[in-house]
Amino acid sequence: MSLEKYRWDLINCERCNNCLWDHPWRVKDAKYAKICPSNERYLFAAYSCQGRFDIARGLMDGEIKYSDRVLDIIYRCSLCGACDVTCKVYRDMEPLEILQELRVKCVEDGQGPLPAHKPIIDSVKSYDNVWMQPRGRRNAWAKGLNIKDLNKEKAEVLYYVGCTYAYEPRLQKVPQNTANLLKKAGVDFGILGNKEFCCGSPILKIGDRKLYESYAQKNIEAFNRLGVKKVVTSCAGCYGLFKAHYPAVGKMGFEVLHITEYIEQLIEEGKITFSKELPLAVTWHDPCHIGRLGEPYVPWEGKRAKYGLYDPPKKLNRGTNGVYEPPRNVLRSIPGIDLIEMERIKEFSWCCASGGGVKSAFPDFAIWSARERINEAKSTGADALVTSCPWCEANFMDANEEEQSGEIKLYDLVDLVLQVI
Amino acid sequence: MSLPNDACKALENVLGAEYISDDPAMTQAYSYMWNVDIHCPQRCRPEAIVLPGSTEEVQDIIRIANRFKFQYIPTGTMLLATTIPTQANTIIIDPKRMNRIIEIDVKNMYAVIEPYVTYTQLHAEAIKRGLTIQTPGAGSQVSVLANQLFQGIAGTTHRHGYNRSILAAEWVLPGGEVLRLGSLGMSGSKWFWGDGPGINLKGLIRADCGHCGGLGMVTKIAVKLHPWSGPRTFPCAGTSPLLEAEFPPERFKMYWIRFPNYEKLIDAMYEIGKAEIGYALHKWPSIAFPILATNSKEDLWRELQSGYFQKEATCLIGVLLVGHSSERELVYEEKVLKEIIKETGGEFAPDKVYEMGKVISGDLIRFGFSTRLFRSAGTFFEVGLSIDSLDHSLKYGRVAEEAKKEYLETGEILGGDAEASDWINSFDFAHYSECESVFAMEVNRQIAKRIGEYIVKTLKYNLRDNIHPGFVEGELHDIAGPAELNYHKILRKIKNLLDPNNLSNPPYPIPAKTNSE
Repeated sequence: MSLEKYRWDLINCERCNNCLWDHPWRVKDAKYAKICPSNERYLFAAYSCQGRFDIARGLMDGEIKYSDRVLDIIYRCSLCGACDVTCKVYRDMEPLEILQELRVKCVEDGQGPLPAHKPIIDSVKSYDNVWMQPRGRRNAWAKGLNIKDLNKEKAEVLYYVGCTYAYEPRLQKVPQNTANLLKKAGVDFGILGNKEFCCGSPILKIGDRKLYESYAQKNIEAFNRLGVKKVVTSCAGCYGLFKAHYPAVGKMGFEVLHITEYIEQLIEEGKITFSKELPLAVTWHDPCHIGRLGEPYVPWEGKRAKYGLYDPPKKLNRGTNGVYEPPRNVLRSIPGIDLIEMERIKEFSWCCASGGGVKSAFPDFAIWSARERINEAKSTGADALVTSCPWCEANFMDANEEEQSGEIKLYDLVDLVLQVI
Repeated sequence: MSLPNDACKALENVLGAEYISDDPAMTQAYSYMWNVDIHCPQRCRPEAIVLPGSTEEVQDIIRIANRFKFQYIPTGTMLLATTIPTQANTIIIDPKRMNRIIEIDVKNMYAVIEPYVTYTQLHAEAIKRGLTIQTPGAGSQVSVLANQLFQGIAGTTHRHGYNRSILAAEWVLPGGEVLRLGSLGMSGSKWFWGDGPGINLKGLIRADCGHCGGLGMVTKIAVKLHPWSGPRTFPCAGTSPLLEAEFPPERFKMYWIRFPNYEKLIDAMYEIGKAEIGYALHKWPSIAFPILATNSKEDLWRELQSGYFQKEATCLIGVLLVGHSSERELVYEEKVLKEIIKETGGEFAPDKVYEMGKVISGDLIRFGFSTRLFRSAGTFFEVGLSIDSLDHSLKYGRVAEEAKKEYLETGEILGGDAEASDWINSFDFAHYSECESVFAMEVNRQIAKRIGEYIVKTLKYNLRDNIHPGFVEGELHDIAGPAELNYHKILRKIKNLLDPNNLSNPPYPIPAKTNSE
């Protein structure tokens, strides 16, 4: 798929600006009407979906040339997909695919990714993780937990941890708590330990599709070889990739679940029960990668026919089939928890802007966007912000530390669940 | 970079380096809109983009433009092609930092806003306070200020009135001076009224269809708000894209009524106006139903090909009734409406029309789906905005139909006859009306050129039949003017008087010189 395939979209964009705004009917407060962090922070139209369309068209038609500013515009976006959802209320276009393809073009043209992203690629190539950490330490979080090693034993469920939960010291308690929770629920699960590879999400998002595909292929083969029925992950980024991108690379003989979905199932099956009460008002932040970017892959190959009709007809992902209810159902089922919703939720959620290579290249932007979200969370009157994504969690922690007007409590959903069983 | 270095430095001194850019990558994002090609053979990248944060900064920018003789385009949310430069040596004034709702005066029912406040934002804040503002078919994501200056025609103009929303205004003239209009013009006064005390030059900033940034930049306006008896938040339910507006049925009710012919339909619209009932009243084009109420091109085309709405929703009006003061008010209006339907030979449309029309009733209050019109082919366009009587709208639609025929036959555009594609809107309880003849097409330069021909043809046919031609821009004023009391000469004098250097978004509202000059 090259950028040229999207020419119809690029010239038919009406510049209606709906890509910048939440759906008009949903807006309750002028303050929370916007939905694109990049444009809200940088204001110039270039830092919007429409502006990036103009950049894409300009590069294709030779109207502009690559420059540091062009790359800055292309990469100062978390690829959160909010523009994709809002555009598709009105149009049959693929904004997110175009923004992704623009980055692939940058890499293929030898212009991308940004210097700040290159260590990520080097790290994955050298160490199979994005954090420049030795392979031998990937399993450090699991020390003393006595978890099955699926390289040696069989189990029904593979718990795929992901690079960030595995290596980020502030977050390692999440996989530890998850393992304890799964044990308490009697789940037959195991991990790949030091043989677990990066899912490839960060490298795809910064545009290195070839490298990503090699990792996707490796992982699919490894997971298939294990013979597991389910692959469960705590990482939203890994989940979004497994659901929305891996099926395009290879056949997957297993079901993929995010931990929030799996906990919901275990509660329904009576394998997790609550024995305590937790009096806490919480609000849930939908991570983009289990939300609007976590929809199942829909294969389509074709072209635009007259009047822009898709030939053959195409089912568009609109962000509505993400993992929205499972975490909410889990929270609602915990005795004492009062779930208060923010205004921008589910497919219309505000992104913390940690993904898409933003946290590595533009940490100030990521913290700014996280702070916006924290302030929205505080405005609900909730005591705590709960989520389930290592990128969001680390970014919220960073933003919380710098927050002048007082911190908000931050929880991973698993941490809360473990407190009450 | 073709702006002189000194000009750039001067702008940077005013705005700070963060809020000005002349980088081609940044200006590229302000250089494309397909419909520029309709009238202009070329599009240009602006030389720079500036983001002022205050009226004073706008004044300084305009003064610098006059000193260094470069052109500037004041913008809002940039939906119109008039915001894209077609000449070199032009900068864009993007008001993204001027995004404040400065005041909502509940007692006097008005709001004071800056250019980057959208209808969605203002409507959300207004209904919290028991007030509302009419929102336009362009969509609620557009700038209130820019839209009000352009036309301000909305779903509920039948009830709320045409061209009455702008109260006091703050206007930076093309020379950089600030002029305060209406009540704001009096020392120590407020924003409550547009016509005085103080000077009333609303006709200059608003007129028929605004000056499109051709006469400086309006930096703040007060807009009229109206009483709102509905819920304090917009009652949105469902999952995207199938969102629904669930207004309390005892207070809000949409009626779809069809008539045996166009003349009866217009009679009924007059009678509804005379009875002073209804919150919104429109003759709907039959093609609007599949466009607005389906969620993909494929669904839309299936609906269009089935021909159901072309058959069942033809000669159709939609009437939104609202019981503002009580449920009994709604009951009364329903009774009156049914009497009128009986007298004018109307009948209720089938259930499927009601079902598909659900999305439309919510749209009339806060437009959330109108931009779906773009979905049908690639984009949509219209000729119209011809404000006059309902009878006039009927004639306008027929002329547009005649002019459109050859383009429909070649398949260059999608639409239909007047019944299928005309929107006829009632304003001020049917005292005024306008007709928009809508069609859709894919975007390319050749079609844009053909649309340009069609617009001129419609204009000439209207003048031939002594019909007010509606929205006219740029050079077309010189065609329409001689048939309409030579207004173009006055307009040109105003442009030249206020903008002697011809720097404020030329060629709007009219080219400073005629072609022969």
